[in-house]
Amino acid sequence: MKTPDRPHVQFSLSHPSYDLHRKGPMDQARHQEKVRQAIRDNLPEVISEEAIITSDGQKIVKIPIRGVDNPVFRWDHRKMRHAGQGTGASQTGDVIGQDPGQSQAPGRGKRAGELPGIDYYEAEFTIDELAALVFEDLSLPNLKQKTAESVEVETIRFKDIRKTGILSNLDKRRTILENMRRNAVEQRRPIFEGITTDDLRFRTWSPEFKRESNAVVIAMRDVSGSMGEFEKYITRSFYFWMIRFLRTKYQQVEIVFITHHTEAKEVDEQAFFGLGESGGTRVSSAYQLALDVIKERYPPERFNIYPYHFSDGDNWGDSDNKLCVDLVRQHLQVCNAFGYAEIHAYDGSAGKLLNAFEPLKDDPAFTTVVIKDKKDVHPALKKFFGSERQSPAAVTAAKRRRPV
Amino acid sequence: MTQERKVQNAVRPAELTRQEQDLSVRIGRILEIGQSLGLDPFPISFELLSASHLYELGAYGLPGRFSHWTFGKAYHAMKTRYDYGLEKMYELVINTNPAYAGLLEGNSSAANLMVAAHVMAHVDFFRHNLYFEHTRRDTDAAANRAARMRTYEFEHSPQAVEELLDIALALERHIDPQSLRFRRKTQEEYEKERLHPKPPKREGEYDDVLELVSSGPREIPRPAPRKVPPEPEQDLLLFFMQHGELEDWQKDILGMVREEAYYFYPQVMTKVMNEGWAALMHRRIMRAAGEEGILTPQEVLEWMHLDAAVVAPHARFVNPYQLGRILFERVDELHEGVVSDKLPKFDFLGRPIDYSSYRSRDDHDIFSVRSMNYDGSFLRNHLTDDLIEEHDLYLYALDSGEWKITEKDPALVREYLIELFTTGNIPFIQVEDADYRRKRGLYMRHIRGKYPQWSLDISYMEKVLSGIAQKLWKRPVHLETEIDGARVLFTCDDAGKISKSTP
Repeated sequence: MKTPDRPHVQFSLSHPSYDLHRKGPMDQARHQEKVRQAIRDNLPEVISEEAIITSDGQKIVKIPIRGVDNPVFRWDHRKMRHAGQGTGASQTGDVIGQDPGQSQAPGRGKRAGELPGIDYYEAEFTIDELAALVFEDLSLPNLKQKTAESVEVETIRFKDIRKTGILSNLDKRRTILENMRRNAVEQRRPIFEGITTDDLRFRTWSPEFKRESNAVVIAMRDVSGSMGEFEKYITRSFYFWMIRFLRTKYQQVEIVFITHHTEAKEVDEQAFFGLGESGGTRVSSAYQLALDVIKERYPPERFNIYPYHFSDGDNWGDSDNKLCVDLVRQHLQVCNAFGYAEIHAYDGSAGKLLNAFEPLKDDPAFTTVVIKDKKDVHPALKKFFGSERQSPAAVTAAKRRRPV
Repeated sequence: MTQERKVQNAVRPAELTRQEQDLSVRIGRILEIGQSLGLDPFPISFELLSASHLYELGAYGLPGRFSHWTFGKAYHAMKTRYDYGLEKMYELVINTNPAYAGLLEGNSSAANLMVAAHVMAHVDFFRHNLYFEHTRRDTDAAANRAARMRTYEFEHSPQAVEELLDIALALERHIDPQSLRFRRKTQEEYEKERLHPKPPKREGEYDDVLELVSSGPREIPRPAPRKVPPEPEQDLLLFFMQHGELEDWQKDILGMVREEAYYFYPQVMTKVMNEGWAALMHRRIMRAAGEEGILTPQEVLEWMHLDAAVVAPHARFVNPYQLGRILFERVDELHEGVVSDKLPKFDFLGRPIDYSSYRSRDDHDIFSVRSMNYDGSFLRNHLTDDLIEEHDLYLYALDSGEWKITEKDPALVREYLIELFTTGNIPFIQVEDADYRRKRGLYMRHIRGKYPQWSLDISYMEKVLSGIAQKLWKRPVHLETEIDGARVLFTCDDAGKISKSTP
C-alpha cells in the first residue's frame, strides 16, 4: 500500500498556556472522601485493635487500602492464571512473586497483593488522624455555657503556606520540592540546585481565640476480680479513645480517674489504665466518691460534668444496686449526662446492675450501653457522644467550638 | 479543542517558543516519513501539556468527559506515580477526526518526536482497522454527554447521579459486540414470531408434496408465553434501560455510559495490535529519521533507549507493545519471503503449510493484517509456538502463597492469551428472566468460562448485585454461578441483603 503523490498529513502543534482543568483534583477529592467513608465503615474493626490500644499513642497505623474501587463482576484474582514474560530461561516452578496473603480482618474488601506487579498503597494514619475520623461526629452532649470562668483558649493554626515569610518559618521540604519541580521543567532533570526566591515556601500561623466552657469527665472503672481480661480490655479500649477524643476536641477538659472494687479511690491516668486487682464489687463506692469529688472541686454552676462508668455489672447485691440508683439520681441533678456501660463477655444479664437502672431509662441525660464484643466499642462511643443527643442550641455551640 | 484551528503544516510563531517551533518542523518531517512508509492517518492536532493535564486526560480517556470519582482515583494514582518518579506517561491519543494527541511538555525533543511517530501510527490504525468503523469521531460527543450529566446533577443532586453512575460503570463492560455488526430483532419481531410460531419441520424428501394433500389441519403449536427477555441478554445496560425501574433521566445516564463503552470497545479488543503497530512504525520512522539527519546522535541514542523501555518484557504481565510488534514483524518477514526454519511445518489438521504463498497474497502484508484483524484473530493466526518459546512467554498461578510459573506449553499459553485479549477476562453474564417465579424477580446467569477452576470474586459480586437490586431493579435479583465446581444461586433482595442457595 505504498501510495505515491498524496497530500501531506495535516497536523498542528500548540502549547496551551494555562490549565483551567481542575476536574482531576476535584474528582480525586471525591475519591478521598470515599476512602474516608470506607475507613469509617470499618472503624469498629479498626479502633479496637490490640496494637492501637496498647501503643503509646505514637504508633502509625497502616490501613491497606487500594483506594476505594468501584466493584465490578470479575474473577477471583487468586484463583486465576496469568501470563507473563521472562528473559529467556524460565522454567515451570520458578517463583516470580510472593503473595502476602490475607492479613487483615474480614470485611475490609480488598486483599493485599491482589494484583501482582501493581502497587497498592497502605494508607497510613497516625493515631491522631484515626482519632479525628472516629470523632468527627462526636462531642460532649448537652454542653452548656457555664457562667463565670469561661476561659479563653488560644488555638494555633499552622497550616498556611505562603511564598513570603520569615526564615525561621521556612518549610524546607516544600521549598526543595518546588525547586525540583522547576528544574524538572527547565532543565529536564528533577534535581535540587539553584534555589531562587521563587522557590521558597513559608509556613505562617494565625491565632484563633475561642470561648469554651469548662467541662470535667469523671471516668470510673471497675477493677474487681470479676472483671476478667476481656472486660478490662474493653474498658481500656473505650477510655483510650474517649480521652484522646476529649483532649483533641476540648482544650479545657479535666478528667478525674476513679477505680473501685469494694472501695473506690481516685488515681492518676497511668494507674487508671494499668491497674488490675481483685476483690469484690461495690459500685456505690465509686458513685459516692464521684459525688464527693464534685462537691469538693467542681461546682455545677461552673462546670459541665460527665460521669462514665464501666463495669461487668456484677454488684455486691440488690441493696447496693438500689443504692446505686439513688446515687445516679443525685448525679443527674448536677451532671449534664451520666453514662453506664456494661460488658457482657457471655450472654445473660440477670442480676446485673443494668437491670437495676430500669427506672432511670426515661431520663434523656442517662445513657446505658451493653458491650459484648470489640466491635461494640465504637457504637458505644457514638451513643455516649453522638450528636443526636444534643439540643439544637448545644449543637450549634459545639459546632462553633469544634476545631476545623 | 472545539475551537477553530488552522490545520496545516504551519506553526503559529507567536505562540510557540523557538524550541517548540523546531519541534513542529521536525514533527512535520516525521509525518512525511511515516507517510512514505504507507501510513495514512486522519489530521492530527498535537498539544504540549503539563503533567497534570496529561494525566487528567489519561484518567478520563476523553477530553471533556463527565465526572466520576473513579477517574479521580485513576488521575491521582497516575499523577502520584509521576510525581514520585515511578512512571511516566508520554503520550495520549484520542480516536477522533481530527485526532487529538497530547505530548508531555517537559519531555525532550527526541522523546516527543518518537511519540509523534507512535501517535501517527495509532491514528492510522484508528482510521483503517475495520473494528473502528462504527465509532463516532466527533470531538464534541464526550463534552455534550458531560453537559447533560451536569444538568442531571443540578436537577437531581450529585449524589443521585453518582450512585447511578457507580452501578452503570460497574456494568459497562458487559456489552454485546455482535450487535455492532448484526441488527438485533425488535420487540415486534419477537412478538410476531411468538404469536405465529412455525410448525415443526417434518423429515423427508417429499414433505412439500405431502403437505398439499395432507388430511386435516396440521398441528399448529400454541404460542409460547411471552418471555422477557425473549433471548438471554448480555448487553446489561441495554436491558436495564428497557426494563429497569428507572426514570427517563436515569435511563439516559445508562445510555451515555453504554455509548462510551461501545466507543471504547474496539480499542479494548485491539490493544495488542494497536500498540504493536505503533511500536513497529515508530521504530521504522525514527530509524529513517536518523538516517536522514533529522536527529542528532544524542537524540538517536535517546530514542533507542526509550524504545527499549517501551517494549521491555515483564514478569507478571504481557507487554502488548512487545507482543504486537514481534507479531507484525513476523507477518512482514513472511510477506517478504523470509521463512524461519522454526516456523511450524504443519497446520492444526496436519497438512503442510506453504509459506511461499504468503509472499504474493495481498491480504498477507502488514497493512491488510492491520485492517482486518482484532487481537483474537491476530494472535491465533500469527502467534506461533516458536515465537512463544523464543520470547519466553508463560502462565503463572498462586501456589502455597507464591506466584509460580505453571505452564510453558506454547499451545496452552497461546489459548490463554487469545482468551485474555479477546474477552479481557471479563466474566460472561446474561439476563435470562425478568419475571423469575412470576414475582418480577431478575434471574441472571454467569456462563462458565474456559477455566473451571476460576470463580467469581464473591465480595465484589455481592456488591454489584446489591447495586443492581437497589438502584436498577428495585426487586429481588438472582445470579447463578459456579463456585469450585458447584452451582450456586446468590439472591439479593431490594434492601441489599444477600443470601445463598442451590439453584
